[in-house]
Amino acid sequence: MNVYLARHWRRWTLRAVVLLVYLFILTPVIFIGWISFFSNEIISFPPDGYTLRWFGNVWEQRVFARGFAMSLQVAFLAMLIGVTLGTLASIALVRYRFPGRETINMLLLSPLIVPGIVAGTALYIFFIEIDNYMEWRLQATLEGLVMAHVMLTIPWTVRLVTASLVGIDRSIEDAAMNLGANRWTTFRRVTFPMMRAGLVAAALFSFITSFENLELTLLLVGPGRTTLPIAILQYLEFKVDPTIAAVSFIQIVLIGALMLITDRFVKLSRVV
Amino acid sequence: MSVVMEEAAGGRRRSVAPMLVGPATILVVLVLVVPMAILFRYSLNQFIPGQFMVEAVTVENYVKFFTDSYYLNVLWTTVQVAVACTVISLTLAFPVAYVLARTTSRYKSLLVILAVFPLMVGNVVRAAGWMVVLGNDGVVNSILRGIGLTAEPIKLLYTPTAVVIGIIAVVLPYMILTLQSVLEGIDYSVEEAALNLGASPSKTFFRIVFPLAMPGVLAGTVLVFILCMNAYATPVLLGGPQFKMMAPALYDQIARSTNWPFGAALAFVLMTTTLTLTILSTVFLQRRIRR
Amino acid sequence: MSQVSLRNLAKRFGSVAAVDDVTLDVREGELVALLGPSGCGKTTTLRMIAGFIAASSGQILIGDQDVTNLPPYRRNTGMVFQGYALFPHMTVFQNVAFGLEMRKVPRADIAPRVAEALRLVQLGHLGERMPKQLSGGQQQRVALARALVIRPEVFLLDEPLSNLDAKLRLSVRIEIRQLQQALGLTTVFVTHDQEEALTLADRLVVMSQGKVQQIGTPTELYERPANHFVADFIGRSNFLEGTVSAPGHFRTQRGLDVAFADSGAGPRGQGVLAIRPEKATVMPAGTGGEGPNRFPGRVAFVTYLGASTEIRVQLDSGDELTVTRPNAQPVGDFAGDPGGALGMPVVGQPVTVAWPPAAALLLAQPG
Repeated sequence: MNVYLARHWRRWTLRAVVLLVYLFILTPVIFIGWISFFSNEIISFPPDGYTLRWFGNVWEQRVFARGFAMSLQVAFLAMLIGVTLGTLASIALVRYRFPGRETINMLLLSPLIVPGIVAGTALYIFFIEIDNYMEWRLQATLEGLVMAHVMLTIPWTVRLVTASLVGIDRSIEDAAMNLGANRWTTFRRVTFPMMRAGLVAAALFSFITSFENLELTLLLVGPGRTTLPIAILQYLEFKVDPTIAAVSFIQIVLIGALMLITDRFVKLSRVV
Repeated sequence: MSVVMEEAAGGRRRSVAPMLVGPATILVVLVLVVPMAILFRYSLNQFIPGQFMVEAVTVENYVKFFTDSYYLNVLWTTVQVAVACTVISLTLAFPVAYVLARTTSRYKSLLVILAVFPLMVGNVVRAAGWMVVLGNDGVVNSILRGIGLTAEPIKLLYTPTAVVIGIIAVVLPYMILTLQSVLEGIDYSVEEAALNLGASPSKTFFRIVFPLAMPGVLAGTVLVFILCMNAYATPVLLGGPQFKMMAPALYDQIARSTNWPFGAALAFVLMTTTLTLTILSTVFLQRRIRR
Repeated sequence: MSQVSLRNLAKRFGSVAAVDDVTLDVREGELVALLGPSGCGKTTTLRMIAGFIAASSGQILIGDQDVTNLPPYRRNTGMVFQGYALFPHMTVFQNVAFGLEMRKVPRADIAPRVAEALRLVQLGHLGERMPKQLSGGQQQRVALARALVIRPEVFLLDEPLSNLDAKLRLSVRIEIRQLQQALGLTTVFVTHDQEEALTLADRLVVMSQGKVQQIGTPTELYERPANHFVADFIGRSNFLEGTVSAPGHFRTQRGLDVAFADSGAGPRGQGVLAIRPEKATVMPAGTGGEGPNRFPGRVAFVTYLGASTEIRVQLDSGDELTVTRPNAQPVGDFAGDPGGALGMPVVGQPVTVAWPPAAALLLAQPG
């Protein structure tokens, strides 16, 4: 058989597989977006027509608006704390040799492998016991959720920031000091700008993982104090309709926009 | 032992490193390590209905789990689903990761971002998407009816198949990205060398590319397997009320039955099973490459 | 009989021709080097012979067989890659045995043939090591053994020495040449290092911008470069631009009248004269008697290179010329005999530069 024909075939089969896999992973996202514009309340295909009504409906359902506000606050605060503490830790982990360094590195990354539902259960019981003994209520509070979500944002930050720090050629810092910059100036003017890509990526991933987290959060919310993904989950256990599609679509658009904005500063395809 | 290595002259306080790692470490210990320890301790307590929880050191919760056919079934279902999803996603992800790693197309970064995007959108939203695709009046059934293949809708939603489909879609991006980063590190000239020595493309794949990608296969398999074992939203929303996996069962124990000792035991059974199977598969796969 | 033939071979990427109409015959047992600056198309040519890149047009013949449309794994070529491309997950033995396995050589025959190949590259004792445990030079030999053991019809080498340090490069170069001659291997070798090419190859192919500039033995290329590019790329040359004023006479733009050995083959009218630096001599002004091509000037710069001295002279006409002079006798320093026959010339010193007409080559002006 002609080799170029065979090569051709191989290439196109491979491309077809890639296309199908992408279609598969994008299918739910595409359809939920489409349905949020359907005019009929009972979902059926093809739709009778299109409307923007459901987006207004979302606003009237206070549980989504409150969940959205809660998720935003939690994600923002958890990101802020996680990125700050995680970055400081990363600097120490990459730039210093000290006893227990490996252990601490593993400890800081360990939340990535502990199942969210298990960690959530442990934290739920812990919070309730704290309340029992110290009368300090953490379950179903903003503080409690932020504390829990810092567990998500620290490992992401450590992972991404250590990677970007390791990639920095130390002779560049030596050059800055050789030119008369002191340590703080060297950090501020040379090291920090070079690790900016890692920091931006860490902030994005921290924010998003916190925002969309479900398993860890499940037991830590309460009536009236719930996050958006849990509000969606609870609604979905009850029914699927264009309103919930509209809520989902808002989350998709928000996260897509965040990714696009971040991609302008840092090439996302290089950090993941 | 010296705290600072290869540090420039002019001195620096030796306590800098502990000050930098301290806060993050303390936080993680406080919100993860301590609660996990407490959880483990509670799994050895007794649960007496009406009295809530009684201090004890007993393995009866674990015994109850392994003697109750309902829970054994839940665990077995979970393992089956996790293995199926892991194997299928590995098979599907490999060609995609290979293309992503080898392409010189300018759309490469777009393709990578498109793989990351669904991952960022979150499980619940994607489960909602599958609900409208697989439902009785959903996309698939509407198409089947539209082209006259079926009169009655085929039950797709609230079946184990729906759960497997949903979980595969959730874990595929992780598998693709893990494999891609490893494949990217394999020098293409090694593949060319094999072709030059007379190996056909398929021989080159099985003798060279796949063995060299083994670290990625292992990392991806472990990561994806853990995710599958602990899936919550997908089985709850796509599996229906009859279908139970471990994570939802654990949630029910704590939130609905308020049986903390048994719930804690469930959590550790889940973690230990996952860990054991992960180690077993790692050893198995590593043997296969040594062969 | 030629073992490898390229007939009007071309590779176009879009509108860019990476390899443009290359025709070449490599004789059996001959070592041909493809030489040129990076991006000249030499590697693309080699990879087309191996089959990694499909030819856009033209033909490739190995032995009597047209292999133009055969995939790499059906061509019997043995290639040594620039980075060696050893299989990192296989031992040295497994690496070398791979090609034999693919050829379905019986198991019983594989071991002795691998052992033989490893002995040939003096690695007989390292068969069980992994590639990572070997030095760069040893990895290089494994790559050689792996390519040799399959008894290829053509042996292809892609800059095989570029990853070795300077000292090792010299010894491996000699080894490759000895192996190639002992086994009578038809070899195509890609390099950007002209010294490597000149010392190793029976014939050289100088390429630039996808085109063959000249094919010839090292002596032919150095003594009779076909054009400005070859004269500049192989060794060094002084170039004087001007016009042919009469047969055997060349007038530079700055008005110098130079005699050259006119074969009648060079261009008429506008042209360039190339003079190798070691073929001209420098002497103190007013010495050395009479003859053609003697021009007064002043020393502009002197570089002592140990084995020779390089002197840049600004001619009174304004032309500049570099002359190298072998330091065949002990060289005095500045204080000793300034300007004397054995001393170092001094910057600013008036001198006479001379060269025989045969040393000046007339070439076409570069495009």
